[in-house]
Amino acid sequence: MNADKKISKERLAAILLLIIVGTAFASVITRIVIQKSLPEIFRIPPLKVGMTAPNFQLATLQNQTVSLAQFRGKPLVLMFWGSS
Amino acid sequence: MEAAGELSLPGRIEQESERLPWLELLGAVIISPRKAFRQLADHPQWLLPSIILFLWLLLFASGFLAQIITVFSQMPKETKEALPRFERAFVVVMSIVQIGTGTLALAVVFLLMTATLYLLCRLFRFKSRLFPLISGLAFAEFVPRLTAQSVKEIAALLSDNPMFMFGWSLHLYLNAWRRFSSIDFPIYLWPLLNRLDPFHLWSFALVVILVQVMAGVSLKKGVLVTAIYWCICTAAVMGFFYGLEIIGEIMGSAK
Repeated sequence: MNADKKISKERLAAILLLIIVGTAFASVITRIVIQKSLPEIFRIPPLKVGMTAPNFQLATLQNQTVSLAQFRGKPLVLMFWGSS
Repeated sequence: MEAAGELSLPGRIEQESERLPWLELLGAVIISPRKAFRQLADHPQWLLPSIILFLWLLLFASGFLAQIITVFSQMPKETKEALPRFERAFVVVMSIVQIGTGTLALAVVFLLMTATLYLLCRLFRFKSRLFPLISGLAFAEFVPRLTAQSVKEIAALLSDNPMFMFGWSLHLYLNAWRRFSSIDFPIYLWPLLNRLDPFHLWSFALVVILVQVMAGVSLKKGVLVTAIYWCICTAAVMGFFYGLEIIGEIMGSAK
């Protein structure tokens, strides 16, 4: 009886290990799927001080398109304002 | 009614054990290793440790693949567009190469490790048979590593940090404590630092029990042999990394 109980404990431990290994494989697949399916904006890590900003384009008031790359190497001030 | 021959060999009758099913043997390595190693002394197993080794490498390689995909997907668009073919080729080739060469290299390294442990047992005049020792050591080394790799992969998903899988050990704790990478350890110290984690300690304890069971020695002698074995293996890996660093420096200065 006691031996039977111990054997079932061992089986349980092995099943637990197999579940952990299976979960690990599933988490690897999830990481790959998440990275492949996310829109690009969510994949870019948040910017920190000292990091290079990603390039973007905006329209000026005169309807000309300017990009951040045009100002590479020059000091640039970005001003955000709201108008009613 | 028992035969007279059997009665005259009680020790032998006690030692012989029934062959456990693979699931119970695997569980026994985790919760009652002494029983598992006694079982392996009577019936050495090869297929199960080979599958565990393969699963460990497969998990390591797929985790590496996931990390590369993450790094590539976080690259600026211009950089990424410059190397789409490289990305595909690199990811596929690296993963296949890792599983292929990793299995072969680990098999060779593992045989060298077993030879070291066997020679140490002989040096201390312990009686142990080679094949059960190989089989037992495979379980003692690979089961904790597979578990460690699995926990790392799950933690990498939960932590939202793709680099997490490379830093589990004391190296990570120290760096985390000092806000990451303020301590710049030389590369040859990494194997030592990576061996100071709970899973390696578990593996160490399993090897102690293995030596005790296979050679029939006391706990003190088992710890002594395992400690020497551990030092030799760690020194060998550190020497390998030190050699790599020297080659890197020579190649860097040649440029």
